[in-house]
Amino acid sequence: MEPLASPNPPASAPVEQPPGSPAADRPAGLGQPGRLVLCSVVPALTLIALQFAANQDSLFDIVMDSLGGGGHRPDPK
Amino acid sequence: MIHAAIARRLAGLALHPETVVGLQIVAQDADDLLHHPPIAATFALLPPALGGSEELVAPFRAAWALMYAVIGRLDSLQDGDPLRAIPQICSPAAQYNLVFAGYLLATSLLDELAAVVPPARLIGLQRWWVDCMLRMADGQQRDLAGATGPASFEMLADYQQIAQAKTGATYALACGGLALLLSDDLALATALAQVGEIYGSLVQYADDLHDAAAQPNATLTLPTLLRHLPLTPSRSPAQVEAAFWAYLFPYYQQAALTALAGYPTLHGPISELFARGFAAPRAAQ
Repeated sequence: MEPLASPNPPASAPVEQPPGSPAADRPAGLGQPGRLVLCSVVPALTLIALQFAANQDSLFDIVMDSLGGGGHRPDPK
Repeated sequence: MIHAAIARRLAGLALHPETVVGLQIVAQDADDLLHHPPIAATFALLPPALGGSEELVAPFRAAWALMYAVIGRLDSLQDGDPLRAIPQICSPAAQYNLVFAGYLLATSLLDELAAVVPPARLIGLQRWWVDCMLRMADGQQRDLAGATGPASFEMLADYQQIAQAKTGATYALACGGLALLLSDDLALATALAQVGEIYGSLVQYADDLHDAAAQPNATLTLPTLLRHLPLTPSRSPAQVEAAFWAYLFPYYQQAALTALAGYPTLHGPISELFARGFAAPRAAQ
């Protein structure tokens, strides 16, 4: 299986605004869209899915843990 | 609850009775949504964790829930899915117009905050509202444009982007908006917006896993894409979906807690949020 490339940056990722651009010239304070950043910490679903597929031997353990309420806790590192 | 807020807002307006009935039915949708576990948990846990009073939270909760109800109705209209019937409003064009009116009404419910929130804080909240709604509309636009070609594992990245933009942004509005409403700490608002985006993405994944069989026009859903994972074919799709959810969930929850690294007192409520919001396991049935 060929390694899968990392997902593309989210389309909604914040875009840096060069100084002097209309967005950069917005007044400081509440209300400027650049201050509340999104999308920087959401783990990539593609890579998690690949890890999951690679660990499929433990598939049923995970399912049983989940249905039993214990929940499997893979090390995300 | 939302009924009362809407009745206050519409009082004295010369609207046709059919329009009022339609808006009341959408308000009923919104009231019902407040019992949906991910939403109920959000508004039960975050306001007390942030020290918010009911006087401050109630208008925002009503506005957000009504917004969520109308964009849900819009999504159902666009996908051809069933929705709560409004006998007086039959044609698709009239249904779309009701969605427009409902959205206007939702944003207008924020006006009640003007009496209890400093103007700068309210302006910031309103700006955040529009930013998130633009992202939601952007995600919906991509979703409606549809995937080209057959489904493949590589589409998972596209799926995530759409889920984050649609449902992720909607919950980022709820969580980040509550922080903007109840605090002047922008770092806290940023962190909670990220938590909301993570949480909302999970809501979308969970709904897709749970409702796939009931989505007649689904084009890009998680169950569809999981069928293209390189897994032993003897596993049933339902088992794969349940196992994947169990594997995925801790990653996303940990990411939310990492976003709140500077706010350890919120780790307990946020862990509880994820536990309550997704209490029912996505079981392999």
